[in-house]
Amino acid sequence: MDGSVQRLNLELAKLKRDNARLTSILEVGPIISSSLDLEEVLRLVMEKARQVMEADACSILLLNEETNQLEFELSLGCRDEVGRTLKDKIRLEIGQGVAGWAAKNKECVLVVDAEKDERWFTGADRITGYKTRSLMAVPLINKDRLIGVAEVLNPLHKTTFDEGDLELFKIFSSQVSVALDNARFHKDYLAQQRLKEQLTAASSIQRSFLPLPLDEEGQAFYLEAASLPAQEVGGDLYDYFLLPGRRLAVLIGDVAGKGVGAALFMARVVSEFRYLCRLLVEPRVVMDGLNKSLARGARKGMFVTAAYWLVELDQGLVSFCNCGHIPSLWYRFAKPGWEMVEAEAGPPLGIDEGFEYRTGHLELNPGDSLLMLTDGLVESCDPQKQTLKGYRKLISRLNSLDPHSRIMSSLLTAGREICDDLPAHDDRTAIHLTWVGGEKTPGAGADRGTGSKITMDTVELETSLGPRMLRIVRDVAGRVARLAGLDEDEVNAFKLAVDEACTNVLRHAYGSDPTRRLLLSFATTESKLTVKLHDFGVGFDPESLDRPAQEDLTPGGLGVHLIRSVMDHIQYSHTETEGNTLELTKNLNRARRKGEG
Amino acid sequence: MSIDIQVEQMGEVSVISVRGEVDLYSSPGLRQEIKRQVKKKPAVLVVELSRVEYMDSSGVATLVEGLKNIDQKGGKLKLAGLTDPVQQVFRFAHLDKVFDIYPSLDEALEG
Repeated sequence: MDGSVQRLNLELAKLKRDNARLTSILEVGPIISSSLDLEEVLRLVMEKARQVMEADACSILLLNEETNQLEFELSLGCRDEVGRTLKDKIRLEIGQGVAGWAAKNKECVLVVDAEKDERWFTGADRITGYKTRSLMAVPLINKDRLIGVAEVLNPLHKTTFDEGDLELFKIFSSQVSVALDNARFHKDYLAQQRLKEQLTAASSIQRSFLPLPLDEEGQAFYLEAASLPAQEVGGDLYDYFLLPGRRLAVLIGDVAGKGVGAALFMARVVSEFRYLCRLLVEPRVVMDGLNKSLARGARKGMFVTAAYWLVELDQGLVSFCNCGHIPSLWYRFAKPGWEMVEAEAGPPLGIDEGFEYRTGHLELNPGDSLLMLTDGLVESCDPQKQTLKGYRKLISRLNSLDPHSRIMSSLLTAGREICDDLPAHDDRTAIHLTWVGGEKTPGAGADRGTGSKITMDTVELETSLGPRMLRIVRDVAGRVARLAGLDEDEVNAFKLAVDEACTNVLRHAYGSDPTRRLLLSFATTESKLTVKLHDFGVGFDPESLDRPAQEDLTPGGLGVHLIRSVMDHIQYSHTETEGNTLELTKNLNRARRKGEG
Repeated sequence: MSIDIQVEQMGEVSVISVRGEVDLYSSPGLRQEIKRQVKKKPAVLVVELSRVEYMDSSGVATLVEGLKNIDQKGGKLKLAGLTDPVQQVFRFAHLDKVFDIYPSLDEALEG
């Protein structure tokens, strides 16, 4: 009787203890949901494990999926430096040691006497100086995938762990798996959030590279442009700006690839293009330069298809250079209907460093339009992504629109309607330019060119300002002035004014650096001879131009005075980013010239 | 170098003969030569310009500086043989009355 009471008491004590341990496991749930920080969750859960299992020490080993090894993520019950040693120095192969065995076989292991178990890996004890007697290892598995192994070592109040302990530890470990999974999911989610934020930032940086609408007031053209990226950041690019000499530069392009890398490459293409455009004149030369620079500096496989269009706004003359880009469309006012611009296209930029591109030419009449686009727009018009079919559909769509109205929004959504609700796979970009006629054709109409065309001769010069070039500039100025009909005194005076203007740029805008480039354009009409100087330096004080003719005998002051003495009209403009333009005009005395002739 | 400078000394008189185009790049050479001659305190320094087809404001400023310096030392600066373009620059600069200008070197030496 006494024996059975004693047994009952023992049984009761065991039940009580099991109950307490199960209660502890229930406490793990709230811990798991209390924090999403992986390290913190692990620490809290393992503290609990050690307490419940009444173990001297415990560890969590996580599977490194890259090396397929088990690494000690956390060890409790030992000094901190021991934990660090385990973490830094010990790696277990799958199958190596008790933990490796548990991982390999996805089975729980109870080791009653470590020294007598052949699976036992003695390396850890040797390094840490710990003496393992008995241990349990449970594989951590979530959705059939091995995450790691949990271990407890050396029971505190008895010599070895038993089957009951193992059952309990299994339940415990399944909770750890859930905790790990939660925290990892959260970690991934955070990483994704960060990536998304970066993409949003990249997208806004990229948008900031796109040009603002131009002020069309008093201009000879209308221009609208838009780009719809397929992802946050796209690979399509466009740019447009006015150049000295009443010219409009338009660039469209499509960078191979998408995402942040493509966007950064795009930013580089645009900034180098802007720089080269102001330095060089002919489209072919600009694109040769851009190609060289991109080919030299590009990461493997980075290239861009692009087309550069340069429009002379007074004449409607267009020169263009196509570098692997798809054809643009042309609407002729005299022959309504959009058609493809046939043009020779070289390879995309950034591939063949030494390729020499060609410049194509076309002449716009007032009311003509050009549409530059990217393949995303063409392909979006045909579900099978056939370019020619896409072009046909796009053209029939365009022909239903008024080419002189704003067509961009209905154009970019065109693909959506045709392809139903398919998500866009490629960026869609278009630039729509309508030329209404230059200033020499007042009331620009279709009869341009039939009679009272005012002729204008232009000479353009792009030059540095070293000693030799300065003399050449004077010679050119002299010849232009002579051809414009000025007498020898006036020719000399004109040369002097141009020379003074150049040296002014050299000294003030370019800090006397004779290698920097200056754009000079001379234009002669019936009534005047104009020279424009465009530099890319810092601005100078335009008020110095208005200074009264005083006894200012510094070379600079005298120079400006000389310019004022020679020229009839002086105009100066300065921008922060695009340099300075000085426009000097000399009126031509036509009556005298006729008398002489 | 776009100018060629020759110097001749005849007792109290020094003559600097210039040939070429006097601009931003060549005027420093002329300036140096004038300074060197002014240091020697000649009674008269003639700058002979009959073979100068072009002069810009830096050339003019160089001559103005020479004029001031030789004035201080009690000497005289004369310009001789100005071509049309050079005369014009002096006119534009309103300096044609400030300098002693002679049609030729001989007249400058006689005057």
